[in-house]
Amino acid sequence: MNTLFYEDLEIGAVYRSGGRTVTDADNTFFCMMSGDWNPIHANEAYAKQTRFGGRVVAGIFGLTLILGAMNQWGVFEESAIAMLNIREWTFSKPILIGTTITVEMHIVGKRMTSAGKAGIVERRFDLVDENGELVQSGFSDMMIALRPGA
Amino acid sequence: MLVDQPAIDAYARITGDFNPIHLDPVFAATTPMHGIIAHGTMSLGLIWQMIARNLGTPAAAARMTVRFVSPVRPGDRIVAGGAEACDGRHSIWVKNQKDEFVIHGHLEVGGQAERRKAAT
Repeated sequence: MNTLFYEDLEIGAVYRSGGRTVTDADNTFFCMMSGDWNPIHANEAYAKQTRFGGRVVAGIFGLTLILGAMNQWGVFEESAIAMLNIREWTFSKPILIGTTITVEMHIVGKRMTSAGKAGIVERRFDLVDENGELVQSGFSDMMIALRPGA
Repeated sequence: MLVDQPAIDAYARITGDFNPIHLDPVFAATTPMHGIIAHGTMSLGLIWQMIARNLGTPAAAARMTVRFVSPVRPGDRIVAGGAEACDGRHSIWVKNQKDEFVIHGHLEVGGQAERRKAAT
């Protein structure tokens, strides 16, 4: 069991996921799920003529990759209470089909809630492509359980 | 958008986030949320569609800050909206069927010209 509770988190800790190549299937599933069939996602002939040079996966899909990475790490499996916010989320580069994304999570801060019954962990996420370039980044705070019995 | 358990299950599969707080009613009942909550980013996806429909797709050079104000539960109906503020930013939100804010925040899409310059 890899679950980390509030007491276990260390500021400065970094978690890194394995690479995840964003495929045509990801793009199609995401269009189906969201109902967003904007031609920039769905029409290759059109997308080729845009400045992106091909189909771009919905930016929000990149953000959701952090969820899969966290599941892979298993660190918040039983301790996550609620994601509180997403702060200063920046879409620096488009995600083209074939891009390989690695997710990094940096623990940048922690504090107790005002009620004192749970903790809040401040995390910075970086999505990096296969060339080491930043694709998306930003902060997200999460309410996290204290170690049971603490 | 109706958020029901099958939609939450599908979202777990596509994102790979199988945290039991979204999927296991027995576990979720023991947490401070007192029951299943939908993935926050699922509701955020609705904002994304609203933006895409109204502004085109700001795939690059956008900056977003949102707060998840209240949880979305299975059976909730949510709707996204927004407005342009005088400072050039857009306020963005998601509300539930009780007209309560679920997500509230803002979006800046000012970097487009800069991005184009960088590409040439």
